[in-house]
Amino acid sequence: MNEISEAITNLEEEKVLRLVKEKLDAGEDPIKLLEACRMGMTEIGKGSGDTVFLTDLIMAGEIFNEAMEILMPKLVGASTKSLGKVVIGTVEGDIHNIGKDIAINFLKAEGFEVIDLGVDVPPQKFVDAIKEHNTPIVGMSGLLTLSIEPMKKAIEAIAAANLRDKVKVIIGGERTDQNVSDYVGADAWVNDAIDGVKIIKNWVGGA
Amino acid sequence: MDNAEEIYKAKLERLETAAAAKEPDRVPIAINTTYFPAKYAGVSYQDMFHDNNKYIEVMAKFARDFNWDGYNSLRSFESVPIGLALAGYDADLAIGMAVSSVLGGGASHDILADVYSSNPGRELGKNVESQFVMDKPVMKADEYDSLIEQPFEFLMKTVVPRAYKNLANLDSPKGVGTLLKMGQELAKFPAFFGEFVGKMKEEAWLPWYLALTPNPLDFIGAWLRDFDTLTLDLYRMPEKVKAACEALTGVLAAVGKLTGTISRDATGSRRVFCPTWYNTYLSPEQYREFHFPYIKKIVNELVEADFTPLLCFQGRMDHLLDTLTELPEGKVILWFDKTDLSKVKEVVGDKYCIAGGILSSLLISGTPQQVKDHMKETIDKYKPGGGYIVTTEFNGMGDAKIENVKAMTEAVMEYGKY
Repeated sequence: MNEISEAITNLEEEKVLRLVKEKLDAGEDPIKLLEACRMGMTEIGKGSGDTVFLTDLIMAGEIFNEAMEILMPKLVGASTKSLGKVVIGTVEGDIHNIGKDIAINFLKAEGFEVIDLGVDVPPQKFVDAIKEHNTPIVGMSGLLTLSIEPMKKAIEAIAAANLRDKVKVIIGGERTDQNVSDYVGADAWVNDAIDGVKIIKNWVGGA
Repeated sequence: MDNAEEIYKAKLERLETAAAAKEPDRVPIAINTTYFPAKYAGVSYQDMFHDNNKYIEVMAKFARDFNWDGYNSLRSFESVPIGLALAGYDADLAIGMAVSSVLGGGASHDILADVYSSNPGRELGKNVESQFVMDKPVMKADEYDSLIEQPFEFLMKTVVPRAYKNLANLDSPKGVGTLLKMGQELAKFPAFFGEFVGKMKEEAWLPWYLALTPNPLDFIGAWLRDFDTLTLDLYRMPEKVKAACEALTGVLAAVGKLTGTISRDATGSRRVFCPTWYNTYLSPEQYREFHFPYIKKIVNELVEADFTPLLCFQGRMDHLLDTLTELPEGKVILWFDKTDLSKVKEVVGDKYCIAGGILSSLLISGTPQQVKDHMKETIDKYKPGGGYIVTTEFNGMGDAKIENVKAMTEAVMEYGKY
C-alpha cells in the first residue's frame, strides 16, 4: 500500500489531501492517484464490522470525496475502469440517506457508476431508472420499519414492468433481515453498507 | 374497563418489579406503538397525528382491547430546541414548549415551520409515519464555542431563527405573531393533557414512557448539526464536541427530571425515556469518549431523584456491552433493538432489567403461528429470574399485521406467568 492509501486507511484527512496535491503538482499520473485512493477505501472497508465503525466509514467517504474533487478536473477524458452501473435510492416514504450515501461512496471507490435517485423514491422512479440506464443492479435503502412495504411495492413495480429477471435487487437498512428479504422479494439483504458493496461486487464477478 | 384502578395498580407493580430485576407475577409487555393504534382503529395516521380527539379515541380503544402493561405513541420532537433555549429563563415554560410537539400533535410544526419534522398529511402521505430528519444543520462547525459558552443564548439567538422558518426574524411581525400563536396553542395543552390522561385511566392505561430526555451527543446530532456533520466533527474537533456535551449535560438531566415529574404525577410512571442513537455507529473508544460519560451522568442524576431511566439503545450495541454494568444495578431498564439479547444477558446476568426480543420484521411479515413460536422461545429464554420486559424495537410497530400483534399479546399472557 502506498502513502496515500495508508493515510486514507488511517483517516488522516489533511495528509491525504496534501499528498494528492503534492503528487499532482509533481506530475504524477492522476489515474494512479485515483487507484491509490480507491485502494485505501477498499482496505478500510475490509475492517468494517470488526475494527472499523460506521463513523470511520463516513469520515473515509468524506476524505475520498475531497480527494476526488482535487483529482476530477485532471481525470476528464481519462479512461478509468468501470465495474458497471448501479441504481440506488431510499424507498418511498423514508427520507434517511446515511446508509445509502455510505454505500454510494464505497461503490464509487470500487469503480461502479452510481445512479443516485435520492430519498423518498417512488416505485416508478426505480423502474424508469433501470430502463433509462440499463442497469443490472438495484439497491434499495430504508432505515425504518415503515420502509418494508415500500420496498415490496418497488420490487413489484419492477416485476410488473417485466424487468425483474433483468436485475438483481439488494435491500439494505437497519430493519432488514431474511424475513424481510423473502417478504419483499429481494435477491439479497444487508444491515451493513459495506457488506452490500461486497455482494454487488460478487454479482458482477469483480470480487 | 371494570376494575380499572386494580388493573392499573397491578401493571404499575409488574413493571416496577421487572425494572428492579426481580420476578413479577407475569412478564410485562410494554411497547412504543407509534401509529399502530390508528391502523388498528381504522383511522388515518394523519388524523391520529393532527386531531387530538381522534388521538384520544384510538389510544383508548387500543388500551381497552389489548390491555398491555405499558404503551404510548408520542408524536414528534421539533419543539425541543426552543424549549431548551427557554430553560434558563422559566423552567415550566421551557418544558411546556418542549413537550408541545411530543404530546400535542402537529400544531407546533404547523405554527413554527421547523426544519426537522415531516408529518403525515403534510410533507408525507396521510398514512406515512412522521419522520425526524434535518434538512441541513442549523449550527455551523465554527459555532461550538458559542454553544459551549452560552448555550441558552446561542440556542435562542442563532439556532431558533434557523430551525423555525417562521421565527427567522424574532423581532418581525411574523416572528412575534408566531410566538403568540404558539402561546395560544400552549394554553390549550393542559386541558387536552388532562382529558387524555383521564380517559386513558378509565382504560387502566400506563405509559411505557411519557417522560424523556435526550443525551448531549444525540441532541447535537439530531437538532443542531446533523448526523454526517457531527460525525466529521468527532474527527476534526473532538475537544469542542466534548466541551459542548459537557455544557448540555446539566440542562438535559433537568429536562429528564421535570418531564419525569409530570409523568409521575399524572400516571404514576417513574420511567424516563433516554434514547441513544449514535452508539450503534461509534467505535468502543468513541463511545467511551463522546457518548457514554454524559449518558451515565444523566442516568445517575435521574436515579438519585428516584426515577427509572429507560435506556433505549437503538440499532446495535453488541460492541459496547462492557459499558452496561457501569450503570446502577436494578435501577435502569436496558432496552435493545437488534443487539443480541442472549449476549446482553451473559454480561448483565440477573442484576439488570432487559427489554426487547421481538423484531418488527416478524410482526410485519410473519404468521400468527410464527409469532407465537418466537414468543414462546424468547419468553422461555429470558423469563427465568425476572427482570425481563417484552417489547419491540423503537418505533417498530406501524405496519405490523393486526393478527400478529394479537398473537404476540396472547403468547405473553400464556407463557409469561411466573
